[in-house]
Amino acid sequence: MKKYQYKFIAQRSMLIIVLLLCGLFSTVFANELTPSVKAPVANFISQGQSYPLSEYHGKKIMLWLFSTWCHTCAAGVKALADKHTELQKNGLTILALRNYKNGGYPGPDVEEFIAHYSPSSTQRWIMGEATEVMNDRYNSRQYPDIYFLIDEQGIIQEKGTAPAVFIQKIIDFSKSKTAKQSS
Amino acid sequence: MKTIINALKTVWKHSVYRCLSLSSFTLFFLLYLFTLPSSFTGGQIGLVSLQYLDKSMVSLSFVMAVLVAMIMTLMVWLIRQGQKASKASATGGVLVGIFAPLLCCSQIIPIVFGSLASLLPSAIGTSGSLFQGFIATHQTELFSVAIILLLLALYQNARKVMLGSCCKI
Repeated sequence: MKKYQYKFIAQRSMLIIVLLLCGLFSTVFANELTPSVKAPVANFISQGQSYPLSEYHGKKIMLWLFSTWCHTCAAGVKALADKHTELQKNGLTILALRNYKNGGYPGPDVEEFIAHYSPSSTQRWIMGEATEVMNDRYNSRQYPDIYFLIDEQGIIQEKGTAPAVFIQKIIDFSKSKTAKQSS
Repeated sequence: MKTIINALKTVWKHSVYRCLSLSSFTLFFLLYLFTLPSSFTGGQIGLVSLQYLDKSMVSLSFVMAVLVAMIMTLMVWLIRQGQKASKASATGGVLVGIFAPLLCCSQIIPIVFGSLASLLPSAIGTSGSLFQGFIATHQTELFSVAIILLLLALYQNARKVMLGSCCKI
């Protein structure tokens, strides 16, 4: 191979690497919800009806968006169901919503999925499906699952994935008497 | 099967290779024990993984670690004899076994596909979710593929050990 061909390949490779890095940075630093931000307005569908998230203003809520094909989500249902009594006693409302179109891959309904992994203790959960707008605002990166802990003032205090792993954080949030002030 | 047994007998005559098998088995068994449950922890690897271990995961970790340990021993023996070892199927088997649970429900694929989609939105679109959903719902098949690849690598390397110095490079 001649010298100029090597140069051409090297230049093209560098260009592709730079473009990929730009893409990676734009994804990582994209408009993503962070803690201490007011929870954006969005609706969800439950039992065929549309409800605004603002309906839960004044309550501590855990907004959890998940896909019903994901194993982390199954573990999350089990973990939250195990701590259901404690969370309920502390006044935490759980909004368990399936991602819009189940995150782009087929799977069971939200009620069927939750009933499969925890038949009894989740009856008080608010179950439903996120609207496209809610998914865009709360899960723009299309994670299989993501949760937000929102205080009585509607401020996001914590966010994360895999609630089974971070169950203690969720319990601590449910116990917190006064909400942290937004910065 | 006979080829594999004979090859292992040949190699395990030397204590150094028995030690190598044992140490690679320990290393890979621990590695699999920590990585297989990561599909339940959103890709997190650590002590938290151990909470999600069940009998099937421990058995799978054991089987894959035994296969990898035997392959590693045969490969090291072949290389030290100046022969060429079969690496492709072994590498494939190890990678599939480790990455299938890691990629299934973690944030890796959404971030990687998100960055690709920012360059080629029409070509990539929502294929990240499709890919991740496929991995999550076909874990059994993917682990079967990993085991088949490891068995293939074991047979290929055992055959080379039995053929001896005719394959010397």
